[in-house]
Amino acid sequence: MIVSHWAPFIISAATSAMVALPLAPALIELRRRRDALPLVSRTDDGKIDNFAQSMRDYLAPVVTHHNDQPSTVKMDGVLRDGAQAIVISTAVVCDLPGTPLDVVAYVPQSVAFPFPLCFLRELYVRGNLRVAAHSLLRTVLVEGDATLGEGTAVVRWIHAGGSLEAGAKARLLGRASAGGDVRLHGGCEFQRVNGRKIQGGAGELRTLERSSMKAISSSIELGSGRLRSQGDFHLGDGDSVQGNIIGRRRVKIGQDVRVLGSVKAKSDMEIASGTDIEGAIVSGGHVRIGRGCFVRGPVLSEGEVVIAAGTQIGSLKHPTTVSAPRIRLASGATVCGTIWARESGEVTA
Amino acid sequence: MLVYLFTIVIVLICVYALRHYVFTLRRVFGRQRHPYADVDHADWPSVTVFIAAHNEEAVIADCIEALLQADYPRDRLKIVPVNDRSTDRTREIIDGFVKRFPGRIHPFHRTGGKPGKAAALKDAMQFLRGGVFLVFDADYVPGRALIRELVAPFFDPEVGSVMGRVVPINVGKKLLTRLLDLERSGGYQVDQQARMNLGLVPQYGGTVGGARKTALDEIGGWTENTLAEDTDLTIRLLLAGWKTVYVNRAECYEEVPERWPVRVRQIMRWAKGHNQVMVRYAGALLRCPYLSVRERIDASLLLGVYAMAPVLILGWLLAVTLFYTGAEIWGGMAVLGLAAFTALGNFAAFYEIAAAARLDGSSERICLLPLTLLGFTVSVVSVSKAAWEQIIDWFRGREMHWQKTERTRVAPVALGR
Repeated sequence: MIVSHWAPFIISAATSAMVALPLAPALIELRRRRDALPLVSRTDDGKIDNFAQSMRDYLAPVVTHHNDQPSTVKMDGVLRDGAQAIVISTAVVCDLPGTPLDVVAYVPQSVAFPFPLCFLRELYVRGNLRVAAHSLLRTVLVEGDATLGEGTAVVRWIHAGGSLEAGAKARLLGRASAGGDVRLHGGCEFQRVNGRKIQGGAGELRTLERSSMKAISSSIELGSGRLRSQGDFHLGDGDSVQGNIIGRRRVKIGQDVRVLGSVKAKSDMEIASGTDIEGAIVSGGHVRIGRGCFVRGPVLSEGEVVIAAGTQIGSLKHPTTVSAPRIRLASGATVCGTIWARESGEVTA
Repeated sequence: MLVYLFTIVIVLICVYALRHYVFTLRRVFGRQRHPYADVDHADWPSVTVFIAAHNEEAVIADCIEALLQADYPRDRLKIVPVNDRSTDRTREIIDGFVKRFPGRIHPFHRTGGKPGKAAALKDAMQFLRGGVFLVFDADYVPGRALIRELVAPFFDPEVGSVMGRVVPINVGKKLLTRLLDLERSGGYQVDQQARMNLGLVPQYGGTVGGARKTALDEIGGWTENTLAEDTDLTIRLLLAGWKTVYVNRAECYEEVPERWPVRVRQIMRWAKGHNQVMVRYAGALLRCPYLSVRERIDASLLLGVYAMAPVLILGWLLAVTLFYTGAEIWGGMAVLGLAAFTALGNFAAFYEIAAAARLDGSSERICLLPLTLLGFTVSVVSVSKAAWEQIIDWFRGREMHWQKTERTRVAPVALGR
């Protein structure tokens, strides 16, 4: 009898609790406001060498401490996170252990490491740096020129105030940047590289300031400024086009063509040798750029970009960007600006 | 008859539910497309940045300050505050900046003409220099890299307009701002990015975005007599063979409404504008030769999104009527199950918001998800009311009027720039 008398109240209370239960976390959060700040949005300028400046700031106490007490070799607790730092002078280079160095290293002058080393933490060199083959570095800031031996790996990033040269089969994982030129030898792997000129392989660093005039077999001027093709699009050898080309499928551009505009393909794009493109190349598929081409604007692909020898992307006056999941840069190809291989980049022979 | 109508309503709601699920699953598990995000070096084009301002004394200084600090070649960046018939101190504040930064700010003080953002922007086009323009509302606070991020897609010759991500700045103020924060996350982080991933039709949102001058000229410039110049532009560009792209990384802070009446007016304006565009272009969209079938379907669903609120209310009324009249429903339990599932407009939209909160790395704000039902209910009623008013106005031949969203900020924001 008692149960039946209270039953409606019990059922009502249980139902209310079941309805209110999912709301409990919401009401608690509303009251406590544990996550009520605006989402953090990007406020920096996105420059690749921001890392270098952050590292300079981080290591400034080591530099100051060393300037005050030049004879100090080991420093404890100088850095803001309490990390240990050592000073490596040219006199002690040969005494460095072959085992991995798990301390922040500061080199106040130019240095050449004659045998392979493994730095597990930051390495800061105030002069030039030369690293022996098969070394392993984590984070490197060089105020002068940096030369990395064959097979050397940089795990996070490297920035050189001067030039940067990576030997054959070197692996630049993360970011590699230089205030001057960058040379990546054959078999070198990279992800994001930035420099005045980035060249694959040995040979002279050649740059053009503008595309050369070609002998033109026919000239097409697009009235509306763009040409849209619903199917595949093929531009014959020696043609010249003034305007943008948009292909809904594959786009193939013949030899010695001149495009005074940009080219876009929904699918793959193939550009034969000797072609000049004054604008950008955009592709939803793969892009193959033949030998001796010049592209003034960015090259953006959602597949693979292959740049053949003798081709130049961007110029010293107008640096640009090559971006794709996979990039293959031939020895003898040049990019002025940034190469960003989101998955993998490689210098091919 | 009522049963057939009810079935149509259920099918429509299921189509939108499916759309939400596809977007969310694609955003969380699919390949992400950010084809223009890596452009950090290029021969950047000249760009004109318009700041739409109508009585914005509380917020315009923040916006101009932020734009002056933008990392973009100075000689290629023209900042044009469009002071549209302001009666407060907006003009004085803008002129103060003009004096402090000579040659960098080119104000347009509009004293007459047709009211509304579209009309003001149309008049401001005389100040446009270069091939690209961007538009910010005066309450927006752009980051340093934002101009570059928004201009980068224009290297693609097919891109006609671009849209960045809007992030509420006054999140913690009220329950409403917290709900709008979640709603915006779902809309941008999942909805817009999923459309980008799928190669569909991301939408230009009228601010934190821009367009190519040649594309705008080709479609005949801004439409003055619209309440949603952004949707209007997106669809007209699409019809002319230009694409709109979304850049999720191009984030910009905005102030969301803090009071329910302001929010109701805002969403009613959006709904009316959107419906207006739907009526104007739905037919042309379905016939457009440039578009793929997927693009046509997506664009049509995009245009119909605000029309779904009255459809949902109709569904509720039909469900009750059919239940009490004892009508036989085709499919029996299956239809009833679907009807129950879609009783609150379906839960797919909430799934989208939850996914967005996860992608944003928000840990606790996701707890508020059940409360979004409140915002959803208010929106359904407001949008349905807007549709009803629109029909009445159409019968009476009344013109629609643009209403500005009221600002609440009183002091400059500090975001650590």
